[in-house]
Amino acid sequence: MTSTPTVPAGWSIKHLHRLILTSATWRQSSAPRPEALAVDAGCRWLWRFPPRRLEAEAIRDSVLAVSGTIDPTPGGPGFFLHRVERENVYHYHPLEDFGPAEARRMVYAVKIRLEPDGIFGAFDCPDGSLAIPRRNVSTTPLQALNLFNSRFMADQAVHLAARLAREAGPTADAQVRRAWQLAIHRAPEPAEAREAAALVAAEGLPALARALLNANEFLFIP
Amino acid sequence: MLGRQGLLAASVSGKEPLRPVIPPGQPYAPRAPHFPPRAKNVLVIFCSGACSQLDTFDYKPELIRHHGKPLPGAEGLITFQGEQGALTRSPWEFRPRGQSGKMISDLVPHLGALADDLCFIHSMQGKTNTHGPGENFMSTGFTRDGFPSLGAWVTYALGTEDQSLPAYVALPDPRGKPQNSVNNWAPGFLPAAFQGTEFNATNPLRHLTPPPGISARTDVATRDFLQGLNARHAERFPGDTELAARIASYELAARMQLAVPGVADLSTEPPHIIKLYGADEGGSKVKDLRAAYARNCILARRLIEQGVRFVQLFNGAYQTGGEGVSNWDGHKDLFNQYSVHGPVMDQPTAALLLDLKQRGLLRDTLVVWCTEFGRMPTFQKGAQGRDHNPDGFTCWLAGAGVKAGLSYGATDDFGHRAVEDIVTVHDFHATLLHLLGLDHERLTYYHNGLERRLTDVEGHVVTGVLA
Repeated sequence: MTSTPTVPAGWSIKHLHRLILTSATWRQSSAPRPEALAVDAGCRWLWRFPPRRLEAEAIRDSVLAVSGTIDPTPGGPGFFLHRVERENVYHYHPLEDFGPAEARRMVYAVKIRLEPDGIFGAFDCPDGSLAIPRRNVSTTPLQALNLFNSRFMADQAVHLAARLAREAGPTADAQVRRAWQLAIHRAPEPAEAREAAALVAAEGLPALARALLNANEFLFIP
Repeated sequence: MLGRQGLLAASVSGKEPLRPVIPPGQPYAPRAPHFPPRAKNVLVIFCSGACSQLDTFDYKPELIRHHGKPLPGAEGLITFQGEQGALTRSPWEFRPRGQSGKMISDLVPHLGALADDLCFIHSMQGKTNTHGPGENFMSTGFTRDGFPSLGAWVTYALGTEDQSLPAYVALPDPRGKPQNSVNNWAPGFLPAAFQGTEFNATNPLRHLTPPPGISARTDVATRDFLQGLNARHAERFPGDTELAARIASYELAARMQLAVPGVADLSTEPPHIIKLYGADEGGSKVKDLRAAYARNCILARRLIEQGVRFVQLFNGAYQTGGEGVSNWDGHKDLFNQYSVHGPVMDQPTAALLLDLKQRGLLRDTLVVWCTEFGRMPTFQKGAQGRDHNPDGFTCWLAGAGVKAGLSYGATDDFGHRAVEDIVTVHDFHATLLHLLGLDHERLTYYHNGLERRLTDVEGHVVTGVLA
């Protein structure tokens, strides 16, 4: 890029996108380098592709996609993540039971002002009353509790376990390989595979699924 | 010059920001305030719906004398809900209380008995007459949604003492959340770690326990495996504080799974304490409601005792059952509604104060009783209740660093507008921060081009209430 800003042909956004997406900067890996970390840990100077946590909606969508329960149908009326109680005023209670209607992408969820989603709202979802151009990324123990202990996640872990058994057959090794492939797009290291198989043998396949769906490697790109 | 450290980024007051030193990955680590504090933790008791000062703590003999007449100089007065009728004295008698002889109504006799411990501010002044913005203003310093709550600012500044419990706990009324719900304990643009954690004696913290069907053994094994996965992953990304923070958050969640049920288990309280708060009684609407609120008060005391930095207790919930039924918003039927709200709030709140005092906790705890705004000295035309009044209302403080037995500021003869030693909500906040050892002009957070403050660009410490 030159130091003098230039106006590309007709202010074309597509041109700007092409410029960014084909640049060497954009195409860097996220691998850390100690000497660069020492100078610019926050990656302000884009010496690597900064790893980033998925947004709330992307986490929920990814969980559904990996467990195989997602309904990818686009468009149409939204669905509710709250039970609506109508009396003098409306009260919104987060759902505890979820069915196919709630297996759509979270962008189609009806967003209630001042009522964050009971599980994923904690992942920096701005309130419906606000316009936020750029979300924060925060880490709180409430996120951990929601992702680890909610019934929704437990049910999705069971679905994922069923999918692994269906697609990889009955042997733990094959199931573990399939789990890694689905959730984090790689083969497991030998030590990981051994420990995972041991967990499956001792506690069952849903336990492995639950752990994977909570893992940093699942929630962070890349 | 326009950059973050440059000339135009300086605080409006001209004072240098004094940011808290937060160890990476440890947002709740205790840290020192700007100067030696008088208070170490804060207990806010928020009466939701706008509690009438005229029927509780602001005695107005002229209102009694002019009962039935129009508010002088305000013919045809129209306020929030519409036309006003005549000046109306409180249905409750006021009597002298304590050694100070402070006049307090019969609606709140238990609190009245503690008059010598309380520091009243009768000259509070807000800038909105609507509940949602009013709650926002009292809780966050701004009438709009999206700003950090007082509790978020305090935990951002100071962290907390007990690393197994949340630093900031919001205890909604048993009947439900206040009108503006989570915004009352929101982090706003501060890191979300500083939001209030919401639960109470009736509704435990969501997702605190493993989901049904998963044994404790499986749960522990899964968590251990997960932490192993995360630890190996973190090795491939050295220096990544977010990964480390997530690992730490699961460890904190595990500690909370043990510590929170422990602190919320009121069965360990001795019978005389349960009785003091009225948490044992039942059998009538008032007694049931009082017992439920009382259990929240006991929980509040236990949290303070354990070192939780900021506890925000609500009395009153959003409009369940009709206007003014579940909160202090007595527009139409003040006498009947407040005949419930008064007894429900009075005994447990007084017990909470007494209990803190007898355990020596009042020395270091700042207790803040507040509401979103006040009510009118007139009754609404055609109704038996009072309309909203942000121009003059009462809050009180007790405990660390506060002058006990003081009545600060005053409203006019009829209790309508604050006229003497006016205390805006910004002044109120500046004073609370001051008692915690924080300069409200230097406790800032850089966001969207400004060094933001709880007090915006306003507020003065009310030195008159400081001991």
